[in-house]
Amino acid sequence: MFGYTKRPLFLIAWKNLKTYPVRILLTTSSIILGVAVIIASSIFSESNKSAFDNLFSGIYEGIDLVANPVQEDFANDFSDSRGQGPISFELKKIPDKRIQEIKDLPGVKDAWGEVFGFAQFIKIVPRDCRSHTYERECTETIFISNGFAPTFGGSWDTSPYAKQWELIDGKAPENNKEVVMDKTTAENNDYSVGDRVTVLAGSTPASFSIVGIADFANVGSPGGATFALFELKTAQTLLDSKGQVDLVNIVIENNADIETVRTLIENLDKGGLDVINAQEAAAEQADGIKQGLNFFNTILNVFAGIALFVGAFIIQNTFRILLLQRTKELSLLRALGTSKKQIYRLVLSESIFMSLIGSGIGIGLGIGLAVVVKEGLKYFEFGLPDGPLVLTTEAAITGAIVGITVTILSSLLPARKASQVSPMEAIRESTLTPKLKSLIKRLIFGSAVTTLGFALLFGVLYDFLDLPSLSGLQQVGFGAGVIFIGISIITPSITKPFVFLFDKLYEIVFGILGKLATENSKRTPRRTASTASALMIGLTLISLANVITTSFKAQAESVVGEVVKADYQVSAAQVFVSPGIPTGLADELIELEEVTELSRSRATIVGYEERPLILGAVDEAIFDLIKTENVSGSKEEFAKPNSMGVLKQKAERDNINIGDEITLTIPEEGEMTFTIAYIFDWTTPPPAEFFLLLENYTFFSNESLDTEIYFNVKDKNEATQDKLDAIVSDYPGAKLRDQDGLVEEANNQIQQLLNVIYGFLSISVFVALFGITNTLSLSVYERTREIGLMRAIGTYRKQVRRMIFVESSIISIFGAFLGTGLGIFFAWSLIKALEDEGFSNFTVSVSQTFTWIGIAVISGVIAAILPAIKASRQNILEAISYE
Amino acid sequence: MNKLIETIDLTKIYGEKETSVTALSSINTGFNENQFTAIMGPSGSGKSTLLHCLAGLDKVTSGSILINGVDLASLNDKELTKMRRDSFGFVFQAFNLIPTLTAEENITLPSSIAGRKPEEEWVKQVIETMDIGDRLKHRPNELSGGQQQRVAAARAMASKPEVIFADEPSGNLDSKSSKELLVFMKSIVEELNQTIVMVTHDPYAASFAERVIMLKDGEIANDLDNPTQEEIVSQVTSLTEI
Ligand SMILES: Nc1ncnc2c1ncn2[C@@H]1O[C@H](COP(=O)(O)OP(=O)(O)OP(=O)(O)O)[C@@H](O)[C@H]1O
Ligand SMILES: [Mg+2]
Repeated sequence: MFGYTKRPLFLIAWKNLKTYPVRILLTTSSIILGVAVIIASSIFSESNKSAFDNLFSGIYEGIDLVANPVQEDFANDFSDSRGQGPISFELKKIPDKRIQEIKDLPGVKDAWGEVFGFAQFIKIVPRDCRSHTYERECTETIFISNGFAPTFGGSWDTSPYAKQWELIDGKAPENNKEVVMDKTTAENNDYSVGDRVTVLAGSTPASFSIVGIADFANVGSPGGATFALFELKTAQTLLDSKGQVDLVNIVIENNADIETVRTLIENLDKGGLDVINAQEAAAEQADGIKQGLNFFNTILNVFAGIALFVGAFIIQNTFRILLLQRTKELSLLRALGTSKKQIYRLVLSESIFMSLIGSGIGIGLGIGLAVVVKEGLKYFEFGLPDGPLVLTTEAAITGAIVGITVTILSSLLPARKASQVSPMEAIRESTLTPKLKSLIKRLIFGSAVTTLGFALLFGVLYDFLDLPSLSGLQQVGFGAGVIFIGISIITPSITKPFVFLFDKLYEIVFGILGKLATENSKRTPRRTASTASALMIGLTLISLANVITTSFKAQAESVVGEVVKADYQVSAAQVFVSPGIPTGLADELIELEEVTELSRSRATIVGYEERPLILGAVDEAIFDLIKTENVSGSKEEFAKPNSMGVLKQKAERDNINIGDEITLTIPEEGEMTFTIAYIFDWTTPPPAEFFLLLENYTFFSNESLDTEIYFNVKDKNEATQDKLDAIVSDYPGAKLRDQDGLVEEANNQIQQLLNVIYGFLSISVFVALFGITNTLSLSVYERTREIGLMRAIGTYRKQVRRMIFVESSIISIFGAFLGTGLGIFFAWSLIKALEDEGFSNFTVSVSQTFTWIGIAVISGVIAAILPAIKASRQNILEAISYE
Repeated sequence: MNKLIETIDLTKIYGEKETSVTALSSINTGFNENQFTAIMGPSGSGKSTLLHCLAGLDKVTSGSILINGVDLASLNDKELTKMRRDSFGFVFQAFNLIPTLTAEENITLPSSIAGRKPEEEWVKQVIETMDIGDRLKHRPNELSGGQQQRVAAARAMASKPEVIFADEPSGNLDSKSSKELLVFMKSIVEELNQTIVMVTHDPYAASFAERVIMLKDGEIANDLDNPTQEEIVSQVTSLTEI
């Protein structure tokens, strides 16, 4: 009996996959990675969401109602102010006596007030002094925080019903010398019960004894924030809430109706109390945060999309190579009477198999990746709430569907091509040289698309084109996208000329091996190009990010250098914790013989036309220490009593002119009238819009805080620096920086952002490197005979490996240069588009650009290690034996 | 005459135990310098295996092969490769040339790999003899089968190897091209003192050789000196008939 199969093609497909497991792995590697990124990002965000759910149900655990004070809505009044300085308008609070009133209401089981605000744990550690001439001990102030999470202070709830915090060690705080620290902060910084710690709340720090460590809803602390918990009275004093609380938590009797109790409480202070259902509030607030997190999700998904897009290039490529290798087999099938349609189906069914396998592995890998990302973020103290990893069925299905769809779509074209194999191929020895005609067609079409893209982009940038329904930046992005697609179409056609540039160089350096390598990349320009394109995408994005940030940094540097003329600036170290600097610091500084010139800035809130207004005050020296621009009037006039300065923007907006009279309501002083004597432009973020000269008015001294201090010194040396550091270190809320420090601070922020972006982009580069490994392995496989022949006639293994390395360097140099070029151009376009927003600096860091190209090329060579080893180990006899 | 290659109890067994095939069993022979030797025998008799072992492309199971007195088994991969590059020339039955290189580049490939300049005068002479002077800038796929084989032969000659190994070099060629190639091979042995070991099926091809070794079932069945074509044919038929 002969075997008979009902579905011969299915059998062939299955046999194929079974016989070449490595091929499957190679082809699916990019799908696996793409799906893994999707899954990881989904797990990551789902886990965060569930963590936030826990967080908010933790905050409101055991509580039925929360009474909040109704706040006045000042937001609109400040919205047109450019002021970034402290805006300390009065927060409404609930007086202590109201708590007892609530407790006494029928249906209320218990009620307790809560105080909440910013507080900062501080560690002061000794360090070496810069100079040895200064006799005091030098110290460094470390602000303790868990990554980007905020630093909070609050009251310790003594009610038996309060369940937010659970003491895991020690006891509750009982007096104004005791504090309870949250578990996360204690663990991260090695604090335990009995230690002393300094806490900055308001403007003056104080030392406390840690009497307890508390855990919040089993995650240590809410969202990784640091928490200093005090006894209620102490918290009220420290957090600016004497005799009052920020909110009242209420637990009702089991049989009481929640709505009835709610109304009773609100009626205690009609219009002043807003009582909310705690459980509803938990859900609502968690939703709010989740919405905010969606942004993060979107970013992750964009990166997953990039990885998949790169993956699609590689899948298509791999399929094409695999099918090319099987040309003989396929054409034999055709010769034996298999129809085109059947071949098409054969190839597609193989791709479906592969996509299923790839997606499956991808999901598994995604879970692993999520764990890595999570641990990584924890390591960098990113401050997201802790919690278990959550993989939803939905996410798994989405990941699988995306993986399968991308794979199948990427295999459509190669499958169609395979089905068109002529039955004659089986008999002919096929050559690998591509048809020149199709390359020229490509070049023409691709150039047309690219030109269109450039036209769009320049049209938008130079304002003679406006695409409807797209914002300016979107238009730039659209143009860039079109250019990118165009270039991707062209690349196979320009592979040859590009490689040609390197031909001679490679031949001189690597001899015949260089020649063979360049010839190989030219022989399959489409493959070389699409492998390079995968890398190109990653490098485009990286160099885009790189140039943008380099330019922003350079811009920040030039702005700081131009605008701040003072040697030093002192500002509030933690704006939220302490909105300013105690005036004592400026008094001490001005006493120093080293200090030549000093200006303080202060601000207070006054009434102007029945609305609150921030009124600033400065010393006259400010005009030497900060770059200001005289618009009209004069500094001398400004210095006279009852004169006022106003910012140019405000003056233009409200049509204020020199000589105009402005009447303000000053707290505890009543109405005062000032004459506008000076209109000027303040080039850094100004503390206010209206200014007075500080020394002319006594009412500013009621404000015990300076917002900023600028000063010059006689001689900026290490001894001076030590002396200044020592003085400022007595005021832990103040931060002293020189010009370099200001620039560095701006740069650090940019750099941190850049590092995160690099991290994500490297995933797509990683996928691209897989593509290189892939392409080279297959190309080695394809050239089995050739390499065998070379070995037979005396090529060393080492030389074979070198040949593969050289080939991979060509691919990666091609991709890296194209990508870097495009990235730099896109960065230029983006900056040009942002010109109106004040961005003017376009700086390309040559060293960084070449570093990235170098990294790409080296990675490309690393990606070639496996194929190279495989090539050099090839069995010579198998290679040369005639089939 | 000097023995360039000597085999002592050369045995080659493929596979393990039950499925093992003895391709060569205890071959004791030698190949002289400046001699054109043909190896003949029925299909599966071990001709290619012998050639591959002699050329250091395959490892022997037992026994040894001495090249100028040096045991091939004592050389590591690097030394073997160097020997193939500098002392051996190869012409295979098919796929002899690197498709991306021109005929000229293929011819000088061994010296290029060695990082040496080819001896120009000599290469010119070889090319002239092979009559491929007008095809030097062409790639293999632009050459006929015969031209390809001649280019391969030129490559084998170009680096002045001590011995050229050829496995059915004329197998794919028509009778005219085949004759041209064989005449050339004979001439370089006679005029340029080259040593050639050639595997062939074809009694006509074998008749160009000075010595014909007949293999059967991995053993030497006959060793003929300067046989005529008729002698060879009768030997071959007797071998296949038994
Ligand atoms: N790689 C291998 N594995 C197992 N057996 C092999 C292998 N190569 C050759 N053989 C066997 O060794 C024997 C000799 O093979 P060889 O190729 O040397 O024969 P040949 O004389 O060259 O034949 P032909 O004239 O057909 O080329 C044959 O029986 C063959 O089946
Ligand atoms: Mg053979």
